[in-house]
Amino acid sequence: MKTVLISGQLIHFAGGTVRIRSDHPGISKTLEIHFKHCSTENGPIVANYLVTAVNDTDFTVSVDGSDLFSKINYDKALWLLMQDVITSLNGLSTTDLVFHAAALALANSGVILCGQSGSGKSSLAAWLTASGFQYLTDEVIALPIDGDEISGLCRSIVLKRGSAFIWQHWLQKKDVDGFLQFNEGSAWIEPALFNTEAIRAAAKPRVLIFPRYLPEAELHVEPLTPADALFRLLQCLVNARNIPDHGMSATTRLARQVTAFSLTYSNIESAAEWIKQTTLAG
Amino acid sequence: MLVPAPIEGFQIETLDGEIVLLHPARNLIIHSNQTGALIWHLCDGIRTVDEITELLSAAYPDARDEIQADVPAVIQTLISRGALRSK
Repeated sequence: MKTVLISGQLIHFAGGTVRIRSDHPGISKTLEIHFKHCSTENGPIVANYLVTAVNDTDFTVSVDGSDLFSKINYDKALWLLMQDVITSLNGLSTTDLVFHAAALALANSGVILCGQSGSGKSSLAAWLTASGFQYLTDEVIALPIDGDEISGLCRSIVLKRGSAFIWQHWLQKKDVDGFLQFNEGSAWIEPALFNTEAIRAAAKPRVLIFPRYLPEAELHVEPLTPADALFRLLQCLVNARNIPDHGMSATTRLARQVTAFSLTYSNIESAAEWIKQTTLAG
Repeated sequence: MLVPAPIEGFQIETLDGEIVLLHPARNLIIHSNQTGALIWHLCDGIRTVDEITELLSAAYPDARDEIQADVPAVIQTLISRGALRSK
């Protein structure tokens, strides 16, 4: 096999940057497409990843010279790399509070969808992006310790197999560079495929939502007090140990800055419409 | 006689009368509404539960019956969540 080591994909988030290099053209091209909106070098390189292909079905991922994963297939290499890169960028940030959340913007209002995996963040982010919102991230947001604007890890939207109805509903073509479907059914989707004006670097958050997907549930919304919002935000703060006072004062400032709700839903269309009206009203 | 006392190490944030308690070392986050916040602030390791109940009953005589029922229950909840200890 002919190997060509490219210069490397840079991924920047929350004050840090990682570099990923690969000798496999498919891996390199995929990373270039699905991380292109977070590829500026800004801040120190916190980790150097290398993805090497033994052959087309046997990959190794290493970081700073140490093997992380070996004897994994192409799909697994991309997924594990994605997870580890996010963990590295989140865990090492000392300049920003990092929350497990999706974020979008409509006009001048930022919307945070905060919650753990399975809460419906990515599905709602995809639907809202297709409905005219601008996209910051579907996974993690960063709030500077002394700032009031959020940014996001602007990777491609990651949808699980159960959310296939979203791309089936919105996308006319799937045989394009920005759409990558994995063998197990999930997909990485470049946000511009949903909305050509989708990408947004930062926004002032006005609305904070804690979504919860529950099959068969009616749309149910509860306003939250600032203290309840703070309580829930702290549970989604992933790098508290790096931040003075464990992020309490900056998170409190965010909780006071937004109007907060819990949202239980099963119908994504009605949930998205409620979010749109609430954002416009806010 | 139960004397509830605050556990050391909490960071406390009060918003509109409600409190959020963060204990980084124990990885514990607790939210309490205004009633719970008021009671938590009175738990100083010196007053007994009965004294706290009487103090609040005197301050809010119209709600005496509710206070008699709520204070022991709220304190028990705060103890079970790790915000208070009994001396």
